[in-house]
Amino acid sequence: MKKRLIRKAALPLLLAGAWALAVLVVGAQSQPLEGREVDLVWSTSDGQRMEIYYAHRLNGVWAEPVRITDDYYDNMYPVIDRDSTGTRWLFWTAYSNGRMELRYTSGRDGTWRESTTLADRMKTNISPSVVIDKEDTVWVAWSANDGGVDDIYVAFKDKNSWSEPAMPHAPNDVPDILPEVGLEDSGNPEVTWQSLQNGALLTLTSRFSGEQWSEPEVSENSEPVESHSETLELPAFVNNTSMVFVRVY
Amino acid sequence: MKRQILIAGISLLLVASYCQAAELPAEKIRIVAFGDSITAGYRSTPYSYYLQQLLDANNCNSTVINEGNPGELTAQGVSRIDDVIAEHRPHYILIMEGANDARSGVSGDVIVSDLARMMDKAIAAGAIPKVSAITPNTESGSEYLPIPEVINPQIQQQAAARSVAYVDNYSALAGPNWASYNIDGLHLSPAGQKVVAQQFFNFIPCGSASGDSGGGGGGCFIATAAYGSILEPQVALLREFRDTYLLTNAAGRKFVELYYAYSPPAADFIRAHQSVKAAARIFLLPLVGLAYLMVKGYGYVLMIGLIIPVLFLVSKKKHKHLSSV
Repeated sequence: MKKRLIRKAALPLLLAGAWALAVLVVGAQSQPLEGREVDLVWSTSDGQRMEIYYAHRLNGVWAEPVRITDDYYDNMYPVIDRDSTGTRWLFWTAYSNGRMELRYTSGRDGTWRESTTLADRMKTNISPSVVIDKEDTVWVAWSANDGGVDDIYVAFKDKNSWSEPAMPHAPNDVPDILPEVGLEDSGNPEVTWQSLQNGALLTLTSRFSGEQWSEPEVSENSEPVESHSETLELPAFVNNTSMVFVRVY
Repeated sequence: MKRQILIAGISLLLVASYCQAAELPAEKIRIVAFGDSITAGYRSTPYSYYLQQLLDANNCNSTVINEGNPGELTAQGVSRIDDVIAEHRPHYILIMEGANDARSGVSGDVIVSDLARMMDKAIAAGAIPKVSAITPNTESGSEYLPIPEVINPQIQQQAAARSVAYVDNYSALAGPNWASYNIDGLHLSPAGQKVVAQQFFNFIPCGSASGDSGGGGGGCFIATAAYGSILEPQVALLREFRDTYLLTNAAGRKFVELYYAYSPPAADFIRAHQSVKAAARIFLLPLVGLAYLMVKGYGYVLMIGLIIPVLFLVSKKKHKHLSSV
C-alpha cells in the first residue's frame, strides 16, 4: 500500500510538471520525508536530444546526478523502483522516426547496465510504470498500439526472464492509457489505467491472481485518506520538471 | 378550385412568414475556443481575447467564448465537449488540445483519435469545427519531436477526411521566433497568443457574404449552399428549428442523421451551380417559413392557416353532399 500511495503522488507531477517545482508525497509512514531515501529520474535535453538522468538522495543529501542514456533516441517518461538487493530498475520510452520503444536498465552501487529494449514490436510503447513485489519480481505496465488506439500491457520479470506481455483487459477499440502498476495490500500486483468508454473517462483496475489478470473494475477516483503528506523540493539540477518521476522508500 | 384555394392560402401564409424571416437581423456568430491551459491563457492573455479584437476591428458580428480547461487531456475533452456545445450552441468551435497528452505519456494515436471524436461531435451538433495542430513543446530544452513528426500530420489527415479546416498553429509558432512566442516551452506568451488568434481568424468568415459553405456547414448543408453562408438568417433559422424540434426526439434525430448522410453531395452540386442556388432557395422557401413560425412561437398561425382551408373544404363538401341528397 505504501508504494502505491507514493506512486499516485508522483503522477500529478507528470501531469502538471511545468508548474511544479516540488512534489507532494503522500504516504502512510510517519517517518519524516527528510530522512527517507529518494530516487529521482527525469528526462531533459542534452542540447540535442532528450536523455534520462538519475539522482539519489540519502539522509537529506542529493548525490550528483547520473546520465543514464546517451544515444540517438529521445528518451522520455522515466520511472524507477528498487528490489530487495538495492538494485534499481529504470524504464522509459525511447522515440525515433515515428516509433516508440520501451527500454530499461538496472543498476546498483552506481553501476548501470547497458539499456535493453523490452518492447518494440508495436509502433508505440509509451507511459511505462514499474513496481517490484516482495519476491523481487519486476512488474512493468505500459500502453501500446500498432496503428489503432492504445491498449494496456503488463510484463513481469522473475529471477530468470521476462514474461510475454499480457493485456489486463479484453481487446477493444477504445483508448486505454496512462497505466499505473502497484501492489495490493496482499502484495499482489494490480494495474490501474484510464479508459475512454462511451464518451466518459473511466479509471479501471485489474488485479493479478497469480495466473491471470482479473476482469477490470471501475475504480473510484478517491484520494488517499492517510494524514501524512509532505512536499519534496526538487533539487536545482532538475531543469525540466515536465517529465519527472520520484520514488520515496 | 378548392385545391387552388388551399394551395394559395398556404403559400401566402408561408411567403408572408418568409418575408418576416428574411428581415431578421443577422445572428451574432458564436465562436467557442475549446482547449486546455494554452487556450485558457496560462500566465498570458488568451488568444480568444485577441481573436475578439480582430473580429471587432473587422466589424464581424461575433462573440468569442473561452472554454479552455487547464490540464485537460483530450480524453477529458471528449467527455466535456458535448456540454460546452449544448451550453453555447456555437457556430464555430476552435479545437486546440493534445499538449497535455503529449507530455503525460499518451500516444499520438490516442490524441488523434480523441480529436477526431471531438470533430465528429461538433459536426453532429451542427457546429463547424476548426482543429489546430498541437503547438510546439520545448520544455526539456529539446523539441518534443513526436508532435511535428507523428501527431500533427495525423491530425491534419483526420481533419481532411472530415472536410474540417486544419489550422497549422505549429508551423506559425515554430521557428526562429518561438523563443518570443512561449513563456516556459509549452505555454504561449501574448505574442504567441496573437499569432494563434490571427491563424484562427483567417479561417473564420466575417460577415454573411464571405461564406463558409464547405465542410460541416453547421449541419444545414443544402441551406448553407443555397444561401451562400451559414451566417445567413434563413440558415440560422433552420438550424434553430433542427435543434428545437428535430434533435429533441428520436424520429427527428433519425431524420437529421439521414439528412447528414445524404445531403452533402446535393449541397456540393448546388454550390457549384449559380442557377441551381436560386432554385434551391425557392424550394426551401416553405421550409424557412415553417421554421420561422415554429421557432418564433407562431405555430398557432400555421395551425389556423391550415385549419381554415380544411374547414372551408369540409363545409363545401358537406354542402355539396346535402345538395345532392
